[in-house]
Amino acid sequence: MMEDLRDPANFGAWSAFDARYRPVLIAFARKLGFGHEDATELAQQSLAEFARCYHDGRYQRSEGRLSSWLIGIARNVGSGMRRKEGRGGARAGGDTMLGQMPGELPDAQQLTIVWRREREHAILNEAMSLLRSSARMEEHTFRAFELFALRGVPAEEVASQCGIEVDSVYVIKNRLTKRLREIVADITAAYDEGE
Amino acid sequence: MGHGCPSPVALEAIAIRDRASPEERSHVERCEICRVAIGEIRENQRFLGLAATALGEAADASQHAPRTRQPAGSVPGFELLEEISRGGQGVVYRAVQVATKRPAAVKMLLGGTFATERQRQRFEREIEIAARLRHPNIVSVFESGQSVDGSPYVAMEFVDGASLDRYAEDHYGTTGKHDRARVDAVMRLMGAIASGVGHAHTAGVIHRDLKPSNILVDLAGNPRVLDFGLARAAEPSRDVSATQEFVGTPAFASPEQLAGDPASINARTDVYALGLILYRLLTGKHPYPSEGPIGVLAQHAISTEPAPPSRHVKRLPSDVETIVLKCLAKQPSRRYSSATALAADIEDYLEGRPISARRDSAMYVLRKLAFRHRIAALAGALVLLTIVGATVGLALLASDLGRAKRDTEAALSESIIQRGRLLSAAGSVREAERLLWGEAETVGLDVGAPDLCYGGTAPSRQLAWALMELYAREPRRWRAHFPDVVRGVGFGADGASIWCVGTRGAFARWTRDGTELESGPAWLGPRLPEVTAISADGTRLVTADDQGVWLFDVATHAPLAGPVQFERSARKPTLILSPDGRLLVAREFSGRTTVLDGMTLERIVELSDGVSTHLSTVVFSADSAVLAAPFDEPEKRGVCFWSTSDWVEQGRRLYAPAFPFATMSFGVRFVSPGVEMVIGQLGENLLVWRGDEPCRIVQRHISSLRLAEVAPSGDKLLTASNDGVVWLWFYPGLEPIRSLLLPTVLYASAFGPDGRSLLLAGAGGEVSLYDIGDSRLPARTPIESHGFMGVHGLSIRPDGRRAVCGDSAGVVRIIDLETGAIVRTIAAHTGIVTTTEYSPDGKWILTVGMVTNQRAMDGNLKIWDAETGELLWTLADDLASTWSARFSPDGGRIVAGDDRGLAMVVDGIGPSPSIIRIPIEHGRIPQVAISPDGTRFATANFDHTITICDLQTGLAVGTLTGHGSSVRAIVFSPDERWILSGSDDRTIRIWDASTGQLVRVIEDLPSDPFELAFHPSGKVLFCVGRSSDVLVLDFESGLELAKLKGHDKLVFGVRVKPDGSGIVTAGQDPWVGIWDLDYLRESVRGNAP
Repeated sequence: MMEDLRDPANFGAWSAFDARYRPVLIAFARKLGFGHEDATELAQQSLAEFARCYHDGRYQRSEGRLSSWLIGIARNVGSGMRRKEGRGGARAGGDTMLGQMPGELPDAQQLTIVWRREREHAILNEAMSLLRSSARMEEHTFRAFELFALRGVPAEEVASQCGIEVDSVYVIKNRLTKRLREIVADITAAYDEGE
Repeated sequence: MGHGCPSPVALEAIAIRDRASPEERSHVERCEICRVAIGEIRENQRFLGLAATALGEAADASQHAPRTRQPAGSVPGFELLEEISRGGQGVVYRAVQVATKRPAAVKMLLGGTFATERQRQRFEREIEIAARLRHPNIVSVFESGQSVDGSPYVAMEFVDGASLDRYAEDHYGTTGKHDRARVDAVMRLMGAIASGVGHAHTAGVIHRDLKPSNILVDLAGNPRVLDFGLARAAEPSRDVSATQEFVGTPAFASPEQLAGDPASINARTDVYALGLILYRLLTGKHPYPSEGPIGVLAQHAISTEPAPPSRHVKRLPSDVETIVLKCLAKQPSRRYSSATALAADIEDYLEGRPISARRDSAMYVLRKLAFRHRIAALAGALVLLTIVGATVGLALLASDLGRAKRDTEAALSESIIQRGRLLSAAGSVREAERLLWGEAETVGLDVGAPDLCYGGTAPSRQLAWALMELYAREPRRWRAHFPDVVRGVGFGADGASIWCVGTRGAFARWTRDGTELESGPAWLGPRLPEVTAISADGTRLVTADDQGVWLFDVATHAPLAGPVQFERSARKPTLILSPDGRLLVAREFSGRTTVLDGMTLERIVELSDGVSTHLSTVVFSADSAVLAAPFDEPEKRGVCFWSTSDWVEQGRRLYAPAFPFATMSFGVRFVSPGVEMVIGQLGENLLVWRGDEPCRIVQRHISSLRLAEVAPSGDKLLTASNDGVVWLWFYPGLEPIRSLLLPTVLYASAFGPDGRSLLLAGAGGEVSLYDIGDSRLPARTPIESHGFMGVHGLSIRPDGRRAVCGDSAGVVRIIDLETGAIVRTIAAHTGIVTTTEYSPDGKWILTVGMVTNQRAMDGNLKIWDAETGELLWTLADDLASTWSARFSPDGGRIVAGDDRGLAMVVDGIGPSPSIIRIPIEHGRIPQVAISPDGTRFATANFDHTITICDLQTGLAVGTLTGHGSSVRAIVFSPDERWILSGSDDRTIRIWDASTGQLVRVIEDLPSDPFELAFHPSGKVLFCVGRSSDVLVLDFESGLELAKLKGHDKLVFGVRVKPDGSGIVTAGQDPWVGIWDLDYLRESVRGNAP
């Protein structure tokens, strides 16, 4: 994917990049205390800044991982937004910073931890939607999986709700969990490769 | 599931709650499929626990990971109370001994009756080892046995207290600030712990898993070491854990543990762990990151120097710092030799005495003594200052700054190379390459130099051998960077060339030795489609875009056919070209399979397997005569076959065993004509079955599988997982051959037509050729019916084309060194053959038979015709055991040494030789050597000496003393200037051959040397001994250059080919190893960045 991004007109590649990292950036910004509106803005500015850097050839794979680069950009954008807010005061009805001085953000190590967590979250979300769409299964199968594996509803109750045998509930749980694990591994590998 | 397998509900109960009926237990113990399924369920549970939390779902994590709080079974004589801890191996309960009302801790094996045999062995060994240790600082064992449900248990003294970490935190307060009382309290505690561990060392036990949680401190502040679950007895034969797998806790493991070399683990390994514990107690920190993948931890342990503890604790006494850093030395030989030595130094520190770690510094000792006797020392201080000042001034004046700079550079270079070697031994190949090739650039290593390994400077030789050692472990012949994402790799039709095609159409062709023949840039994209199929010879590629499927010429980019439309779908069809290129199969997501002409893309036929499936793998047989595709029906899954001549489905189908859970990757591989192997994937496990044979399970990967391929020769299988790990297996036995760790995931692979080569291409564009043939390092010539001791008495014919060796059954064999074949077998003696030796002209072979108690007496020296194997003469038969014999350089004499301390000089080799016997000592003479000019000979003696005699007169002209134990090996340097002797004191002493003066000592050999052999250049020395490694030493510097690994048992002999291109070894294995060192040197060249 990174190679494809060299072509600014490769909308497919840029869409894929955007789809992959915008949710991570938004969630990342939310974890840093930005409200939804500011978090969306931070993600937008960060992606635009990344595109500029990338086209200018300022991002070199050999100089660091993509995630570090994105974190750095997001941190700069976020700091800028906070400084601006500090100068102008909290906007009426807008987002406020939680317990931090204007311009202040957690250190690089903490940011990396937050980023990693949000990346995992995004991967799991993507994997869940892929699982839902790719597996050729009846609706009650996925429902049984959600209820039993993710929500902890007792197997007997799930079987009764979905009209299946209790044994089937366990089989479904393990089949789909394994599939989910594999999808997660594939997506993670794709992320790792790109980064 | 198979017949009689528990239901999914029951399996879940067994996997998660360890709850099963006796029948179910019995079944699961026998049924591998159930065991795998249980492992899978547990892995799923673990994943769900994490996923549910991350997704913010309401799943109750505790439901997914229930912990058994109640004792699993009752233990006779004990009342079990609550669970107090749970580790990797067992569960510990607080208990009361019913008879005595004594509090106790009862440890039971985790997994109970489902524990593997290996886990049981470890647990039982822990009991056995702990039971024989009685020390105030080691937890005592009361008794052991089996619980009512058959689980093994051990009852120990109950320590009412806290783990070491917790205790230190509660009692010593905040770390990081200077507080002498706190530091001393920590040192006192550590001294007691080291004393306990030292007791274990004295009893021959190495703990191997020391960490704070394995040390309890009771309410009175006495520490107790526990959990000898990974401990091993010092005798290797008793070591059931001596495998390549890592055992221990990575955060507290020593570099040698993380390097995966069980043979190098000893008491110093525990000393390292004690050092880490002490570091943490003092500073509250770990010296390196202690969490993360084991590879990363290994890299830190091996290559990151620990920050001095004083960086975290201001004004930490320098002795304490010295003690900690000595424990944490990377090189085991630089640590304390045992925990007892550490305890002694801690005691010295606490008593204000000089510690041994610094006792070599006179200044330090004086300062220490002065501190203890302040007043008496005061007067002398001024005088001392004057002397010291003058000495330092003179030293500065005399110092040669240039030499100092060179020394510093050499030390730095050596340090980098040694780190590279350690990383390579630990399997961190890429990191090792980065270091070593980086240093190669600094040193200016010329990999094309003919004397790469034997000339140049000492650092360049070190580097060359470190790289040779690396590529002996990692059999990568060459690598090249490909400028496109690799889609496919393969061998040309003749097997002599290699091709690679990228997703954007870039291509390259190389010869098998890595020379580029031709290449072309990427030309497809960015909006044009990617390559989806490539012909077997790499000359044509197939792409599929919105218009349909296209066929292009790889080199010219000319469209050959297309487009052909397929159903509109988000997913493009899977396209496969037949090996002969005649056919192209398109498998659509719906399951529809269309066959096209591989040259024109005209539709030939549409196949219907009558099932709707999302599985898309189709495979051609090597001769393109059969096409196989999997089917996935509601009740059955398997593979169906079509003949490609008439496209009629063959009457046979292969059915896969019914597993309870989906196998996501599932397909067929043609092993040989008419023999197919069906493979499926169950998580990280590969399922393999053939026809009606029982399903086999390959369990090595720890990440999801990505690829599985069979060699065209049908004898090897490759599996690759998403973590970049590749395993090679022999098929059909499924024994692992080797594993490779790639820096990225594997994108494409191809076996060579003969199954001896393997091409791997990963993300990042690296294309590599590996040698997976029968090991050339060394090539092995097995010796059957060798008697009870293996192969010894090795010699190479002066033309380097043949070798001769003997065995303990009295048989001598002549081996062709080109082919490794045994060309002649001679029943030469009735006892062990201790020596075989070619005459300098290669026409004769001298053999020596030893006297043994078990066999008829021998004691003969015999001369044989090297070509015909005919016995020419028997030179001596005096019923003594002769251990070693050598021809003089002119072939006119033979010198031998026997076990009565007599050296024998045989003159006039023929039917009537004259023999002089020279008394040397009263014991054995294990080896003799004759100087290259033929004027003197030297004997290695069991009385720790070396005797030098005049060959003409037989008179002893000198005795060299200095070894601390028996001398076993003796050799002259090729230039005759030096005599080298190897002894059981694990040193090699280098003596001036003309004066007899000791010149240098190479110390700390890893084992007792049996034989030394010089490379003809005189720069490099090969050493074998009481170890399976061949040690390569730099003669000038005495540094270890490499350890060549290949033998599994002791190596008795090593000889260097006269042209220096390789060595030959023989040992207990029993086989003769032929090591092609030129081949290794070529690997170094091929892998140069």
